[in-house]
Amino acid sequence: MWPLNESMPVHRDEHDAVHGMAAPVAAGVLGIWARQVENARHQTETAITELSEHFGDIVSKMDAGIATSERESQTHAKQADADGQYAQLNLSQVIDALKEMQRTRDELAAEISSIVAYIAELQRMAEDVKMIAFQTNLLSVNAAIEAAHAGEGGKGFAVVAQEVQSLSKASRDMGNKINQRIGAITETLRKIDTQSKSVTAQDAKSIRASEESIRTVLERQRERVSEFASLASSSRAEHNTIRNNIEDALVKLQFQDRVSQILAQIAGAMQQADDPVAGEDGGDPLLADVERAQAEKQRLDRMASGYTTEEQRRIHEGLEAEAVAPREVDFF
Amino acid sequence: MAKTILLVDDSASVRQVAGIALRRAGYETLEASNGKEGLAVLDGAKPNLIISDVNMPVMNGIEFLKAVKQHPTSKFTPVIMLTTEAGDDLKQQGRAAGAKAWIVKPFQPQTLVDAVAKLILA
Repeated sequence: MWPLNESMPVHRDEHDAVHGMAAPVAAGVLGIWARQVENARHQTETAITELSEHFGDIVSKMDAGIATSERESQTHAKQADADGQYAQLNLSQVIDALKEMQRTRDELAAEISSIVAYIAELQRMAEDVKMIAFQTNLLSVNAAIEAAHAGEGGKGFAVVAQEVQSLSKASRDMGNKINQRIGAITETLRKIDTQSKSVTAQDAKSIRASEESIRTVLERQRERVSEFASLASSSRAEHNTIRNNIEDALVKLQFQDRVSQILAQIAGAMQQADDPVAGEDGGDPLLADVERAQAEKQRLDRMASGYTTEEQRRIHEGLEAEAVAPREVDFF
Repeated sequence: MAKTILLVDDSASVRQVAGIALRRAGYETLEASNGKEGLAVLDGAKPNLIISDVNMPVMNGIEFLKAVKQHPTSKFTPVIMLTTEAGDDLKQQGRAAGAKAWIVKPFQPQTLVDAVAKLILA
């Protein structure tokens, strides 16, 4: 902040000029003002420097906090997403397994139904056996009658007819037993079939309920993932806002240096203007006026050469100071 | 390993601000409050880049820059001038003395960090 020509000596002519210009100001006042300004500048500089140090500490801790928060947020979002995918995969497998069980049960029920159909056929066959037994019995009765008509020569045939009748009876009994057994089996199979259909219906209902529950779980999981992603996104946006605010604060803090340079230059100029000038009340008044005019011009030129900012130069030339804003870098 | 930047400025607040920006970007910083102190730092360290103010007491930035270009271990170290001065005359003096860039205060911290990164890689 120190001007390149910072070691400005006190020139008699310069102070003559200043003295002339600042005639209404009591001797020593400018020096006091200069020291007051310098004191204010120094206090501000010290305070802003300490403020900058504290700000640096805060920024450093905040950066660490933001980095941790972003890492955790990303980790949670990734974990939630992975959990969701894992749950979806596993629960889908459960549904598939349940569906497979249902399909197997349906196949079993179909097999049982087909067995029932076969049994009906067996029942018809058992009826056929009874019919054959009945007809065989009729045949044996007729054979016995014929054997009786044949007299003594038909005795042997009568024995055969008797045996055929016994076989016919045995066949009829067997047909009845088969029929009874088939009836019992059929009844059992019908019960199994009915139960199976009932269980299948219950299974289908349970699977639908399971699917619904799983869908709900997955939906909630997806919502959680989405919430995490949304939180992470808003957190990122907030962090970006904080970063922009920090950038802005770092720019604003630099104005202290600029103000300090301006105040240092003013204080220096005031101090020089207030220094006592030897012999100022003596000599030729006309010569003194000419010297004062020259000295004032020199003083102003010297003051201008001590400026370090554009706005100082513009104000010196009677122009409005333009707004100060960051600029692009000049690379050489 | 973090690159090191030497900050030479008589304003402690500017050193703080530039230091905050550079350290946030992962650089390490060394500090000096005028050109003479800056040269003393260079006798014991070899920073990757130097950022110097122009208007400083004891030894100003242009004198410091010229001395850096004569320094046995730092003559090739890139130097950025960081100053409130925006006049072309001083810029030309800086350029002639070997500065690589000229940044006018107040600066955007990111602009400074980008310039540093560009010159360190160059």
